[in-house]
Amino acid sequence: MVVVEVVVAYDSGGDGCRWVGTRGAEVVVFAGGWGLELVAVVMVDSGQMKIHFVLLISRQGKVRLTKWYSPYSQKERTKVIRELSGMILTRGPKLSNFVEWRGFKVVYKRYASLYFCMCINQEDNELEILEIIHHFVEILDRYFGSVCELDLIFNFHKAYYILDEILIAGELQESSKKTVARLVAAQDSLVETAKEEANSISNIIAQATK
Amino acid sequence: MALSGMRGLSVFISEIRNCQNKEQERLRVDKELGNIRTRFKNEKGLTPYDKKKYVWKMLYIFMLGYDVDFGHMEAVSLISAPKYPEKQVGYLVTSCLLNENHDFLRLAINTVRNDIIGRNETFQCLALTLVGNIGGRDFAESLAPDVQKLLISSSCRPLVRKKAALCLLRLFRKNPDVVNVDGWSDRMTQLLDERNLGVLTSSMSLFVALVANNHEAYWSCLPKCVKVLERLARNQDVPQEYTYYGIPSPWLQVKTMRALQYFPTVEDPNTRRSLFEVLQRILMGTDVVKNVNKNNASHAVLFEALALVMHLDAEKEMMSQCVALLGKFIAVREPNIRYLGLENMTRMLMVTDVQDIIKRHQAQIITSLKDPDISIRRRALDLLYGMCDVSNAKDIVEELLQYLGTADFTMREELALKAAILAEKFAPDLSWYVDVILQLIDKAGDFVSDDIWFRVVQFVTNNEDLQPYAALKAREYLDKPAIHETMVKVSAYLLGEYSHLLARRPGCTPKEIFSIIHEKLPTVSTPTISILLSTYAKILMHSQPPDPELQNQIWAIFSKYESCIDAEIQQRAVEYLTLSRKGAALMDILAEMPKFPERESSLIKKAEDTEADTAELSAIKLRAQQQASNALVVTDRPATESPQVSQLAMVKIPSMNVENNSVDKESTQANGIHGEVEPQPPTTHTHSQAHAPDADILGDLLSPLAIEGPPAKSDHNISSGIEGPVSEDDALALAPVGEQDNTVKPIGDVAERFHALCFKDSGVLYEDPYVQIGIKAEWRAHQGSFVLFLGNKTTSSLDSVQAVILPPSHLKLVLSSVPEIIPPRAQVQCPLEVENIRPSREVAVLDFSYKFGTNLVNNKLRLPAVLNKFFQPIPVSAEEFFPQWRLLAAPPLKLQEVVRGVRPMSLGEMANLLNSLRLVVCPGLDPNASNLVATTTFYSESTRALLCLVRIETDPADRSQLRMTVASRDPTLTFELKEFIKEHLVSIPTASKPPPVPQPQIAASDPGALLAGLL
Repeated sequence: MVVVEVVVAYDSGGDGCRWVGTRGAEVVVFAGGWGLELVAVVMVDSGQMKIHFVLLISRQGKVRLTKWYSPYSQKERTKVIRELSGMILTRGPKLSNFVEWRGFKVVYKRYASLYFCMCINQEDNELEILEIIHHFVEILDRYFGSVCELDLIFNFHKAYYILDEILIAGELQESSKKTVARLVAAQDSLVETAKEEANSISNIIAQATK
Repeated sequence: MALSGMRGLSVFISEIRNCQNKEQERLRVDKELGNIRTRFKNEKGLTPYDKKKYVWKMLYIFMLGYDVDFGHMEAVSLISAPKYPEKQVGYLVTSCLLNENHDFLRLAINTVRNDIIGRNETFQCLALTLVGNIGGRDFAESLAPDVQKLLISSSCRPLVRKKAALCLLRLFRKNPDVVNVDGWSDRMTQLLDERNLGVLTSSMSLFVALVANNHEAYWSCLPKCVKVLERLARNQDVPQEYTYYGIPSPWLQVKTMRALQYFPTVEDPNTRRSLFEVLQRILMGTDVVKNVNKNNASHAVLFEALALVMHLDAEKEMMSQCVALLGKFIAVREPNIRYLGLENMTRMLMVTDVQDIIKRHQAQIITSLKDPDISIRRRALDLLYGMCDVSNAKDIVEELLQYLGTADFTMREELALKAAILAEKFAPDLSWYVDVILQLIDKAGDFVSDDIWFRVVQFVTNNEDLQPYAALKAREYLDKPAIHETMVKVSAYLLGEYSHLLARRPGCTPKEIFSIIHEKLPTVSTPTISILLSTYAKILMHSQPPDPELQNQIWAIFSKYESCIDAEIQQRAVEYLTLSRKGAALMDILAEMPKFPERESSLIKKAEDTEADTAELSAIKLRAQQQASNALVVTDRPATESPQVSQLAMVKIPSMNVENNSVDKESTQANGIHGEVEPQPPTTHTHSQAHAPDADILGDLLSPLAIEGPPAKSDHNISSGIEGPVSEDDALALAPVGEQDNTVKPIGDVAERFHALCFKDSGVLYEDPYVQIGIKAEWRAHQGSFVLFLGNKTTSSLDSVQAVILPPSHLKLVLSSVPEIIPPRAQVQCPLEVENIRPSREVAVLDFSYKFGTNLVNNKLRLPAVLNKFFQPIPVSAEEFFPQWRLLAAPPLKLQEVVRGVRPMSLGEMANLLNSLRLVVCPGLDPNASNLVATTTFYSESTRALLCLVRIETDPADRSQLRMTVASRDPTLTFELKEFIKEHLVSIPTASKPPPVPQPQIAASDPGALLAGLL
């Protein structure tokens, strides 16, 4: 990812250009124009996503979950993960939970063998994010019953569902653990019901074709 | 519970886990991808279960960092599945696999919309989540109204509404122009009354984005925010499940206080009082407790409250309370709090009156410079840098110097630069400044950029009192056993110039100085050898009467390097040898360097660049506002200098013009080019080869370089003056730069591109094999907004990119900062604001340069901010036209001219031409069919809107001539418009002459300039 600062946010869509505010800025990904392949994605403002991405990385540097709220290409994602693993996994235990990286801040916390990381803007409230991480972990813990890395490896899709109930657009959606648990359980039961229905239908068909 | 419920998936994951190394993993992944691809190819045999399983595998592989360039269609198609389990997978995998820029997403818009407006709330949730996470412009265009409806619908349940709020937030942030939020202040007032805290939290996030964009519209919501804050922080009126470690939703508290920071102030006294009551409660009532999470949450709230208090500019008492709290924080054991304490203290520096209180904590902050955590060390460094002023500079800089010895490598360069800047800015006396810089070079030579030693040379040169001291110091450092090469450079330079001032001291005879410097020669690199040769020449010049032994020694060295493989060294050796045999002539030519013009420190500029990373926090910005010490002012510049930039000025783009001009000028001088040469990029001139790549890092120091490497052209003149005719080879080598360099040829005709852009608002302004500059513009009355698209076409990055606007006096142009580096195949966009002050045909010029490899490419491009861009076509009826036409009866308001040599065109073509210049042709006004009448409105700041009337009478028999009458209320406008139309009618515009580029002219007769050029 390329980080550039500009003074005015600008939007390239449509005909002509539009100016969209003056506090900090964004350089929009601009595909195509004048035959160039473009990769520059940049944001520097509170008008941008609050949490740019969420990463779960194991102590060995294995990726356990990634969620990107700002657009990054696969190449950029790999680079980001490599850079951050290098910075975060080597940090000692009694240090702060924040690292400064490419003009952003990464708030991270280690739980057993897993590092939970969230990337935010310079001016965002770091402790608030740190507790969003903990909030997420508590919900995972409640769902899996004393969660461990293996749970997340084999049920990475569940972790995604849970995360989607906590964050949308890089913002906190729900701060009640109870509510999140209820919603996730409701989804699970929907899936279960569908499965049973499917089973019973195939049973009926099986019976019928006997 | 460790099974995913999908056997195939679990097995695959275990196999990946069992891979011994990356290579095995890659093989396994490739095999699986092949398998999935085949399965997807004959889709018939695929059950929904299989499909789900495969897209999960794809996502897993993708998450591990592998490219998955197929199967997107399958993932997207699951979205339209009728059953929840498939749909759920489709939505989730799509939102992870794709990002907002994928075309595939468009395929899903309709399904997503149907789910959003449908009745099934679980489907609504899935769809809103996807749009909220990756929705782009297309989604905003087609879905925003539906999402807005959901958010305010009374029949929707909270779980849908909170998702709708955040979904809308994303759409609005990404495309504020598409999402219509007119009238949303009333809706927000209602939403902020929401009892459900999930919905309220999401709505508050949306609200933050709305006020960030336009706080004016939301004043009515301000009291509501204070109410929310009171409800949470004072009344603790929240359901149990929304308290977090006993704290009523800390996140909502933080968000609410963040929203309040977007209002410039809180005017209503009652609201203000209630707000301050709550804030006071938070400031005072937050204690450090044992539980980490409770501590973090309460401090998240506390730090946000601090920020709000600072923003509201509370009474002094409350401010000192805040500083006291921060002072406590920077000394606690908990590293997070320490970090945030330092960070917020730096922010606090912006607030007046508290600096003195902050200074009391200096000792503690210095301790933090040695903290085991690099994040904390960085904050401490930033804070020290920000709080430094004349009173504490000595202490702080000395601390930084001391720390330099042990600091992490990643921080050393920044440290060295910051120390150098502070020393320069706040030096209590000059000798201290010299001490600091020399120490800096001594301790961290590798991290001291050239700018730093260039700067010290400038100061010494410009301050006579300092010269003996600096020379003495330089001499002392040379006695040290192993010194850094930068130290050799700076010492050699200083001693070359000023060692004669030390002559009476022991160990400082020319001979001794020479031999101690010469000792270093075997250890240094080529560029330094060049400097040493200059120093020898200077020493030789200063040893009067000549010491034959020293002379022979030095001559021997010069002769030895006469055959050096490095062109620069060879050049110097040859020239110095010849010159030094000229006796008296040497005295003039090698006389002391003249004083430097006063300039903005290139260091500060550089610091701003390196600070791009931490820009928001950086104390650098503060520097501009603070009083600098008066000790170091580079004054007494030669009278020949053009506009000065104050040393303090934090030059932003507009004023940079001045700066750049003078740099231009010097670079031209340095290369010894005559004034009449076009200011082409000084690249492959044989002699300046050594200079050219350095040109930009040298920045301020171009002149001293001129002495280090006697400029080709000027020496040439001198030697030819003395020796008579020069050999052919020599003459060739000295061919003017403009003729043989500029190897980078533009693609397409630059003038033609400019001309085309005069008629339209977007297109390519310039292109060469490496870069492409596109332009998009939008015009509103007397203002315009350009965006420059600077695109790097190559696969390596372009360095030293600079874009500077040279504005004509009638335009105000503000270019946002242009990054110095454009990454490979990337494009950066730089907005440029234009304001038209008064009518004029002059053209703004974009001075654009970059470095590709060692090639410095520079182009001066005309910007299509031409007269007709400030026209707004306005058709006028006969009743309106004739009274005006008669009113503007005579010159200078109405001008008439017979134009000859008009290029051949039919009347229709001419009408088209006028129309494309935004002069709208009004048919029927003139009874004569071979005449044209056109009108437009012209906008500028001084004239406001002015009606312009044009009449062109043609002669059907002779199309090469016509009579043109132009009228407006402003004489200048009338004249400029007449000339402007004439230009377009007469010449073939593509052949128009080059723009009136403000050229750095060096008067050949100006002795000052000539001298500077020589030395």
